Amino acid sequence: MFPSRLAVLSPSQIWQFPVSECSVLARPDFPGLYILNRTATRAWRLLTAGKSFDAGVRDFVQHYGIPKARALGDLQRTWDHWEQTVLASSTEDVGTPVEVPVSNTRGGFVADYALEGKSVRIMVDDPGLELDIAPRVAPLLVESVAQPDITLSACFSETGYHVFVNSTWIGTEHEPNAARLLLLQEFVRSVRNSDWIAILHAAACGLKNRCILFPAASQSGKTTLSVALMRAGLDFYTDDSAPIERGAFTVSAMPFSLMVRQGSWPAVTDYFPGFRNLPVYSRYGQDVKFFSPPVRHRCETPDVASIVFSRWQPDAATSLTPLDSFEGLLRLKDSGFWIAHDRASIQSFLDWLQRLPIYELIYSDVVEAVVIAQRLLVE
Amino acid sequence: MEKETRTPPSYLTDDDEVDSRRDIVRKLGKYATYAAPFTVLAFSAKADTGSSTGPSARRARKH
Repeated sequence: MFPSRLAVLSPSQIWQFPVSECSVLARPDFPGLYILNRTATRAWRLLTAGKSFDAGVRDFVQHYGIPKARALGDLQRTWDHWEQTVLASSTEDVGTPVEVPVSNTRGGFVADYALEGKSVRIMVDDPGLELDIAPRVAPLLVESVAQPDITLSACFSETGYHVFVNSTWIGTEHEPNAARLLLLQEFVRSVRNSDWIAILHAAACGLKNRCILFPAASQSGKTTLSVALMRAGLDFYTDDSAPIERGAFTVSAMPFSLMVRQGSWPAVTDYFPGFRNLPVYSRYGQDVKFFSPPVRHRCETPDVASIVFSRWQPDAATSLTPLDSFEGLLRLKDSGFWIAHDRASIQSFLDWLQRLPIYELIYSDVVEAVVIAQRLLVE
Repeated sequence: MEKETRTPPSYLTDDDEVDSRRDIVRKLGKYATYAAPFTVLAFSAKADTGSSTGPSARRARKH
């Protein structure tokens, strides 16, 4: 039976967002989205309409024509899952962290940078994190300044890597690459005084004032594809963090070097012969180089023409398959994202996502993939 | 004489065992699109490496 908590469930406790024929739920106290497929969405509607469990089973049997035992089992499993997740009571105090770290970066790496007329000082006391950050920001390096406009610092303690902006604690990450992501995002956000509604873990390339977002897991061929797109004349906007500006839903370009693993060196060298002379670094057991994209006259905040989930696959025939918003959300879950956690922001983001063309691109020939991307930009 | 038992065409009885999608399509026609309900959590994080510490990460691991 549905437990009595159903009788006290109110819309204010769970935020609900329809997405095509599926839905997204969110809790005010938890930074995540619950994505429900079509049948789970129907089950949720039955739940919130106050239907009894037996009535829900009858509805599923009649609507879907499935055996009663199947409907009963599926709905019970769904309810049990929701009891432990979406509808679980939260006993943790999530308003403030248990202990807010204090910025105490001492010595270590200190350097000044310039971006869009503002000076930024980076201070890092962990050698590993320094090696992850310094090559990426090298294109922006300037002579030391007396008083920087913005100071970004990261210090390491037994609880992790703590990131600060002007002594304000931003977050703590357990892994140095995560701390690097956070610090570089704050670099750009602070310089531009941006208000981001979301950040997608994606690369972005484009032309004039339009770009394509390429959300993808690490080592999926995203960097090689990005380089090929640059060689074809497209502008490069970001390698792994694509912040989305609130309101305009444009992408905020990230002006940092991208890391290229050894497996991609031949492809990059083909496009940019000078790449072979770049220094080699060691990262997490791999040899890598850092490549600074060519600077062109470009729009710093391009519109998003489409989202393309790309994957290089040996010997695959190149294919471009449209995806619906629901599938797009599931893919974004896999690649990673952040959305400002309030009802209006989530609704705006989902509305934007449902307006965008979304595709899956599978290719073995990067030239064919470039042609497809160029076509998508002019459509 | 055995009494013939007719299965109403609009729904399946409890005793029916429909294990394969092919059977569903054959018997149910327009109801062939049933997929078991599922709910997946997309955790929202700026760095999103699964390594964050703090209250948000603890809640994520619980879910």
